Amino acid sequence: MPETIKDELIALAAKLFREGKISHFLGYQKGTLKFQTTPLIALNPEDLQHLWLEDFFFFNLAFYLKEIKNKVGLLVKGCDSRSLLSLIKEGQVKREDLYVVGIPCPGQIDLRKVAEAIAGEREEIEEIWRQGNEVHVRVNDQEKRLPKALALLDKCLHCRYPKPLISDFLLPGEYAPPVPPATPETTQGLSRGRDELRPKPLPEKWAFWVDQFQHCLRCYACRNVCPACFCPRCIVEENMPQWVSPLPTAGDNFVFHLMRLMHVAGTCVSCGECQRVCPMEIPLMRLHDKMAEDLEELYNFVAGIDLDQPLPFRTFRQEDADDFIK
Amino acid sequence: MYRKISKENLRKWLGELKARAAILAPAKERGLWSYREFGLQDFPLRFRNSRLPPKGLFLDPLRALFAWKSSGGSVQLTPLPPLNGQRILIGLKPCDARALRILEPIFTRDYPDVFFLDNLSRTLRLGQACSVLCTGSFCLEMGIDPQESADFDIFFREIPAGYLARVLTDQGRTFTEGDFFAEASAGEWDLARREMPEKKEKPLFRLERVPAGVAQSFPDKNFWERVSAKCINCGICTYLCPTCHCFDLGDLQMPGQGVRFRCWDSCAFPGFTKMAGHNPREEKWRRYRQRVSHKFNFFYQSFQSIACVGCGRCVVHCPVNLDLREVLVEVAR
Repeated sequence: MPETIKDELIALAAKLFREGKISHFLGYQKGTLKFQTTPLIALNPEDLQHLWLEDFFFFNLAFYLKEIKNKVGLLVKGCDSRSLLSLIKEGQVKREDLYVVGIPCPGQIDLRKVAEAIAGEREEIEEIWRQGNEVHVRVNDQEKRLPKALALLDKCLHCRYPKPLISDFLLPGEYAPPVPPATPETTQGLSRGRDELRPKPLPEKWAFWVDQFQHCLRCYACRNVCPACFCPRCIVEENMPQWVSPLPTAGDNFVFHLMRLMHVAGTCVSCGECQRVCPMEIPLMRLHDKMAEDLEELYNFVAGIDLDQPLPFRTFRQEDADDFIK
Repeated sequence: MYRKISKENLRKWLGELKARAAILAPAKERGLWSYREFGLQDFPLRFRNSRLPPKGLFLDPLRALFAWKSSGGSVQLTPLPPLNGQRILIGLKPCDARALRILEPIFTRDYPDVFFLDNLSRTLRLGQACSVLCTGSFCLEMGIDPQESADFDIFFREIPAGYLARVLTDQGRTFTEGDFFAEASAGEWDLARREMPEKKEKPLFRLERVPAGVAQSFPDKNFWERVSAKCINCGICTYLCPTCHCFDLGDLQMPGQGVRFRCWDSCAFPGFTKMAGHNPREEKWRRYRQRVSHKFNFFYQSFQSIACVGCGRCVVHCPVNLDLREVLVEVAR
């Protein structure tokens, strides 16, 4: 991103600090590893010098709003802005306490997919750059060209809201057009594989998830990084009574993940952070994507796109179906 | 003692060992490297290190300790069968082998932990010299030599004709007797040493300054608040750490009977120190300070070694790139 835009953002945020409109500004700064940025939590105008607006800003900074209860300025991509709407709707943050700066997002690069596409290890990737509609990678001094489908996070391939839905200021630049809803034709050949699992019989799906969840370490990175997981005390930490054992048994792991899935249904905006951070690479987004699709199909509800539509799982209507109660 | 073995003989040797022991070797499963029972033919190519440290093979993420039954006001405890069966761990890296050494006094001093000790004594440790420095690693700063180690039974270095083996224990010696191996000299061993291509001119920090530096920084609340600000309180750094060893106990119970388990725990969790009426580490900066202080100061005071081997797993897999190396650079100034 051009330096002038960064300077403009620094000037804007510095002004907000001076005017007392914000106590924190959340952005990105250069990370300590290749292909990595790191969240910047600026507490004053001086800290803003570390802002870095280059590639790999995959973080959904909304998760810090669980902790920082103050007037906050922050950078958001389209998907992140949906988390803000969701949090405002849930009464977790007040719109007037936020100063939202939108950043154009070209789709975030997924290093795991890139490594898979080059049939190598992530550490072997020497350089990554974008060119036209492709992502170019240098490995062992050889250049490889990858189509976006093999290089970007799956969520970016079907992003319907690339432009922030709320903002006080939009950084100049090109905001990608929304990707039309997926059809069997457009999802063909994607590595996300949700269709590969879905038509399978139930016992096979069950076996798949039993296997995935037995690898879960219960490190709770998925829950902690999730902006929608804002309960001050999570049910897995309740011990009187103990609903879920802290022991990482296959069964308790399963319960933990399914419970979290149900609990964030309607507030989960499919930002994909849970899957990105999972150290055991459990494909959690297959569940969250399915949940999002079901909510849309059954209730015509899409999380985090407005402040008005009531959450399906927290709304009672006289005419709601009850034929499953015997 | 030095020996050498051709690639072909290595295959034969491993084949023979398989009849005598369970062989755990690096294998890629679900896209992640881990130590698995596997039909290994040779040391795997492109293996840098496992996602989860091998500590889990000694201190299991979940381990049943004993079973109990209660009836008529009395409780009977049933010990579980001892862990047995020879295991051979292959392809282990010098950092992780050192980590197992570091863990030893914890589970032997004061209270000998049968589970950890049984696992140690039934596992032959075969190491492999590293050919590259892993991303995010700082083993050299931590005094680990990726090309040399005395923390194995047998340590291998690759040569064009196969492998050189440095035999370090009696058990290692028994396993390398026989015709698959030939004699080798210390001179050959030294010649097979490879320099790390990415080695930095200057270390990131001076290790000898770290324990005192951490101790001095202890009261500096602002420092710990600043360095831990990004932390999301997950357990990745502890669970992926080859030396973190804190655990929790829990019961799985049914009326009249149950099993007591041990599982990994993490000081990053707010509930870790929660007790009746009080939590001494409610705030995140206190928990992060504890993790760094335990590894680099308290542990050093108790055991004269530092509970970190610089493997870099915590650096690479931190969801927010909170890089321990940066903290160490600051405290060691």
